[in-house]
Amino acid sequence: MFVDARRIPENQTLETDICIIGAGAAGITLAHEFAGQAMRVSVLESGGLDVDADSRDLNIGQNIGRPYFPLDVARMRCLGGTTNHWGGLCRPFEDIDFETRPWVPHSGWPLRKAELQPYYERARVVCNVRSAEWSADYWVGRDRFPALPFAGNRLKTRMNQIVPTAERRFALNFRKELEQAANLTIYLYANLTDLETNENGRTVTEANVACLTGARFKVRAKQFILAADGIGNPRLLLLSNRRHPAGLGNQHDQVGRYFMEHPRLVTGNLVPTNPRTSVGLYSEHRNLRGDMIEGHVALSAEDLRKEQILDVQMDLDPVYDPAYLACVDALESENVTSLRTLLRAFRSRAIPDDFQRHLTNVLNDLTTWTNHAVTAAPIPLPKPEVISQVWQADPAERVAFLCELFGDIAPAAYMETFKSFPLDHIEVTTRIEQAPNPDSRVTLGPERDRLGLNRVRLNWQLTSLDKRSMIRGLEILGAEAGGAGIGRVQITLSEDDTWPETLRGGWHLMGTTRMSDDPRNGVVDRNCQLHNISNLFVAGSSVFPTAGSAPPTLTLVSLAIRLADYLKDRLR
Amino acid sequence: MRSASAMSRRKFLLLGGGIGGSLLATPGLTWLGSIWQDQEKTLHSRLTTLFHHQQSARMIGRTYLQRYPQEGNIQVLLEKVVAEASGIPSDSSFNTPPSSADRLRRAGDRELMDVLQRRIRQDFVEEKVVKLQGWILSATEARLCALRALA
Repeated sequence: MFVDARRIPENQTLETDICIIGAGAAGITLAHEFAGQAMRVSVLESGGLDVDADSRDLNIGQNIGRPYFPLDVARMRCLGGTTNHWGGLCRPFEDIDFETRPWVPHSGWPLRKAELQPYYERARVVCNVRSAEWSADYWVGRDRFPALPFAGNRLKTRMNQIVPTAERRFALNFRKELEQAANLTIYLYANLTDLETNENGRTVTEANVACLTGARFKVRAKQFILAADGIGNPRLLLLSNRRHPAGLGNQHDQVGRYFMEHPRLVTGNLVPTNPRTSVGLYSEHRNLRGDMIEGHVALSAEDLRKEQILDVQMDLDPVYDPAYLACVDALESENVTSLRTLLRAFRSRAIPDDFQRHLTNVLNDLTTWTNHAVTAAPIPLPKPEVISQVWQADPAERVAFLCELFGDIAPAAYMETFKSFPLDHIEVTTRIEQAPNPDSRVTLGPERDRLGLNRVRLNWQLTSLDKRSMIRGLEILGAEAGGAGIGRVQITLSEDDTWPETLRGGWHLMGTTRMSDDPRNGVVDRNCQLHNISNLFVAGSSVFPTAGSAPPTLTLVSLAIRLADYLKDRLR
Repeated sequence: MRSASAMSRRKFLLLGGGIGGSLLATPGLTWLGSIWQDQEKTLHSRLTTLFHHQQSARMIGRTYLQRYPQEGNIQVLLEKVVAEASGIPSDSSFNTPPSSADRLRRAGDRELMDVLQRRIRQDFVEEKVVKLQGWILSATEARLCALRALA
C-alpha cells in the first residue's frame, strides 16, 4: 500500500516491525523479500512516485574535493531511487575483490565471494538479468564478435550483462507488489530527519520523520534499515546525534569516510595494426541470442597480485576513419530514429506518437535509391552517371556515395550488424577500483535544507595507487597488444600524481558505511548491522569495503537479499 | 560507439610525421619497405630503409635519441639491435652472437623481416619497451627508428 505521508496527522507515532528508509534498489529489494511475510514493514521514501523539484532540492550538497557530479543529480529521491536513471550494467565482483590485499590499504571484506554467490543468483532475478552465465568464455563463444587475441594471459575479457531499458526501473517492476502486499506500507514524501536511541544508546527506538509540508511524525520499529544511498546513509547517521554527538555508529570516526567511486577517464589510444580489427564485443550490443552485453579488457587476478595494483578495467571504443563518418552518422539520423521508434512501439503493440511522420521518414529513406535509378526500367538499375561516379571514387568516397544512394537505414543496419568500418583508432577509457581512502569522505556542512538538516559535503579524493594502477594497466595493454601484433598503445594520461579535470566517476557512491568485523575499521559488521547498535542495519553500496570495478547494483542487491534473510531468521 | 574526431589520428600521425606514424603505416611493423637485395649494402643501410614512412621513423628516432643520448651512435645502436635479434630462439641462423651481424647482413629480405618482427613481438612480451611521447614501443623498433634518424 502507498500512503502519502503528508496526510498523516501531526505527531502521530506509527508502529511497525521493520522500518526501511529509502525505496531505491536496496530498499525495494528488501521490501520485495519481506512481501507476504508475517511481519509489518514500513518503507519511508523521501520523494513521490516521480521526481519532483522540492524533493530533489534535499539532495543538494557541496563538492569540496575532486570535481564530481552535482549531488542532486547523482542521486534521485523518488520511488525506485537511482534505478530511474540506471544504465542496467550488471556483473558480480571478482573473488580477488573480497580479499585482503596487502598492497591495498584497508582492503578486505569480512565475507568471501562464495558466501555471496547464492545471493548473486537471486539478485540476478530481482534485477532482470537474463542469464546466469558470467564467464567471458561463455559469452565470447556465443557472440558474433571475437575477443581481441592478446599475446599472453595477463589480460582477460570480462562481460557485463545489460538489463534492457524497459526492465531497469525498480519502481515499475515492483510497484504492483509494493501496492498489493498486505504487510507492506510505502510512505511517500516521508523524510527521515534522525534516529533516536534508548538511554544506553544501544537500540534505536524510533525514526523521526518530516514532510516538506511541515508535518512531522514518528515510526517505532523493532528493526531499522537505512537504505538511502552512499551519501544519504552516512548523512542520516551523522544527523542522528542526540545521544551520540559524533553521530550513530561513529564512535571510531568511520562514518562517511572511504567514499569510493569508479574513477573513469579516457586514458589512451590503441592504434590497430589492422584497421578492420573488430572491437564490436567491447561495445554495448545484442549477441546472437538477443542478450545485451558489453565486454571490457581487464587484468588477470594473478597480474594484479604481481603488479600490486588495483583492479583495472579498460573500455575500447572504436573511432572510425573520418571517411566513413557518413555511415556512422547514419546511426544517429532522424530516419533511423524513426525506424527504432516504430519497432519499439510495434514490439509493445502500441502506436507511437507522431506515427505518420515516423512512417514517412522510414518509407522515404528506404526508397532513396529510386532517385538514382533508371526510370521505368523493368528491374532496379542505377543511372549510368551514378555508376560512373561510384566507379571513379576512392573506397572511402564510395562508402559516402552508398549512404547517399541508399539513405540512412541501410548503412546503419550494416553498421549495427557488422560494426566493421575501418578504424582510425580505438579510444581506451580506463575505469579502476578506487583504493579505500579515509580522507575521501562525506561530512555534514554548515548549510541547511528546508527541513533544517545539514546538507552534505563531499570531499572526493584519490591516491597515488589509483594513478599508478591506471598507468600500469595501460602499459600492460600496450605490451600485450604489441606482443600479439594487435597494434600500438599511446598513453595520454600524465604519469605524475595529478588528475585531469575530465576525470569522473561512474555515478557509483560506495564505501561510506563500510563493512568490517572490527568496529575501529568499519561502521557495520558482516551482517550489515551497525557495531554496538542492536537493531540498526545499512543496505546499499555504502557498506562496500572495496569497490571492485564491476558496477555495484548486482552486489548491493545481493547484500540486501542476504540482509533480508538474516532479519527474517531473527524475527522468526 | 563514437564518431571519429575531426581528423583521423592515423592520418594525422602519418601526415604530421608524429610519433608512431611510421609504425601505424607499417602494420605490425611488417616492414613493407623495399629491403635492399644488394649484399654489398651495409647492415645499417638495409635496416634504415625498412620503413614505409621514413619521416615518421626519423621523428621517432630523434625522440628516442633525446631520451637515450648514450645510444646516439650508429655502431652502438647496431650492436644493440643485433644482440637483441640474435637472442631470438628461432629456426633461423642468427643465434650465434659473434657472427650475428654478418648473418643478418647476408640474410634475405624475408628472413631479416621475420627475425626483426619476432624480436619486436618478443620485446613486448618481455616488456623491453620504451615510452616515447606516450607511445609504448618495442625497444628494437625504437632503435631502428633511431638508426634511421642518424642515417
